Amino acid sequence: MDHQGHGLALDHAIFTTPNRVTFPGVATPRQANHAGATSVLYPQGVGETFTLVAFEKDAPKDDWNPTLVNHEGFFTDVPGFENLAEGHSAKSLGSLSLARQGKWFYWGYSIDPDRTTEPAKDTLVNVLHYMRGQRGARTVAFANVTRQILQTYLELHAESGYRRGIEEHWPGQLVPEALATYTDRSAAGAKAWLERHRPYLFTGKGPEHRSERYKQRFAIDADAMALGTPNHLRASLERWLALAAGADGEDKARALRCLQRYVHAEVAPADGDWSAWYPRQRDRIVFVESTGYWWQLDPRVLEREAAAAGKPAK
Amino acid sequence: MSPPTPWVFVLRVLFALVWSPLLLAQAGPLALTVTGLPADAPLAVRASHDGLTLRIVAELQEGWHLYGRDVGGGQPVAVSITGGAFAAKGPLRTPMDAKGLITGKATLELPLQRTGEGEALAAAMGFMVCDALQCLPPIELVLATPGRAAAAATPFPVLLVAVDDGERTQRIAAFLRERGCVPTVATYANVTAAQCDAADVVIADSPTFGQTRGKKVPVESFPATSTPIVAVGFLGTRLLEANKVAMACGYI
Repeated sequence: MDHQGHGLALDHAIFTTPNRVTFPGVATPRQANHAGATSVLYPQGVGETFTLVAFEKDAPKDDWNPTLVNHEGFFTDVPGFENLAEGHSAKSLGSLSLARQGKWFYWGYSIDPDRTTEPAKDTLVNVLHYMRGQRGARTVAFANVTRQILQTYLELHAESGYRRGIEEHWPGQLVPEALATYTDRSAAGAKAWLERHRPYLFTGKGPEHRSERYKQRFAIDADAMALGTPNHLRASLERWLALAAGADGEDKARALRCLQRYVHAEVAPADGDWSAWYPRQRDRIVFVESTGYWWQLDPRVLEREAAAAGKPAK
Repeated sequence: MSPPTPWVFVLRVLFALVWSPLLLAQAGPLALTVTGLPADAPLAVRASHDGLTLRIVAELQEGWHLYGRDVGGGQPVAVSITGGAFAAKGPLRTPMDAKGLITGKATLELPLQRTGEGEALAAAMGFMVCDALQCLPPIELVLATPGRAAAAATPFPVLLVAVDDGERTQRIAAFLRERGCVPTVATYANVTAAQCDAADVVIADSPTFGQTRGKKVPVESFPATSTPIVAVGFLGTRLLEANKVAMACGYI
């Protein structure tokens, strides 16, 4: 990334409080890889032009600033995650230069006042004020990228003919049982495989899902697939709960395994009484992929509960 | 001129703590800027403080309500002081009906106590606005005295952690001082948890990627702290990764 950003969330406090920040912008033709893409900061996609603003006076000489490459969903599924600006790079939409998760803020530019523009200085001061108030914010630990990574390999192939994604990185991120089903590694074959298996992929549960090269390896959830219950949907959770409360049989066994697989131990019922558990926890839990495919306590709920109890959140 | 005696100093502090809010109260309430309210939200919000009380006036359109307490509906109104010369002195007073609903025009009050000089105040207000059918997404407002940070706010401690304490670091520290912070400088090699914990915010600085090449910066041994951290640039991404923060799976 160079010295510029775009897609700024200008109504956020880091651009308004205590300094009202105005960035002069330059209308710039959209990049080829913006076509057809969306992101949190561009929910309708990029128009014919997008507005670049300068955080530093010029580009780093023979050097670069990093963006957090998200490709729209690798890690931003954490509730409360704040996408605040995108960086100017050849990467796809969703490559963030300003972002917050819990008590951590990422600032992707220099903070040297000799290099920083006046609006960026005001923004930096606002960030410090804003972050002072985040001492009680809950930070969620990252475990794995989401299954969106496989869709991204398909899109990169369609955009530029990049084949290593579907031929090398994709199979490299499957456990052996799943790899055995990924036999047609053409673009059409990869697309068909993903359409069939995507709702039932998961990772992040243990050493069998770790990869030194890729961090994560995906498995196919045969139980969820047999029940026709995509693993991320609340309707699926409620279906598993209904089956778990029903008559013994194969479906009940599958449902109980799904509950154990996806409901985090920090919130699961210690006594195994799922029927009594769900009404108590329904509004406190959320499904997050990037933490390990868990129904887990919503960090925003925990922050509210801690605030109401007068205790700092951990 | 000789320095003031301890008694004179004590009297000055007492004056600042006791009389300043009363003077402000006599001068009339100070209006705060309110930011973060979506343009199509079915309510208006105004805020002011007089040194003794933060007052927030919410005017809800007919059919819409806020929650004054948790009744299993939407997120109830919460207000917290996030900066400036005041702290909350007690719980938020919310006018609500028997069902816990706030409707029409309502004034919420948060008693204040002075913690520093000046009239600066910043607060966060979170809530959900609901009708009989649904709640809109949570809204987070920032209420603040207007003006630039350096002029408006009480200085607050910031720990600047850098590769070294050279010219670049000193420039950044000077800038922070100009803009209302009280910076302390540490390096990645010697920063301690106690230094981090003592600050309101930690900045983990970084030069560009190329300028870190060949330097062994011990980012991975950064101390654990409950203080919010602004992670900057390349070393910031390493710090996020080392702390398993869910926003650092890849960067370029």
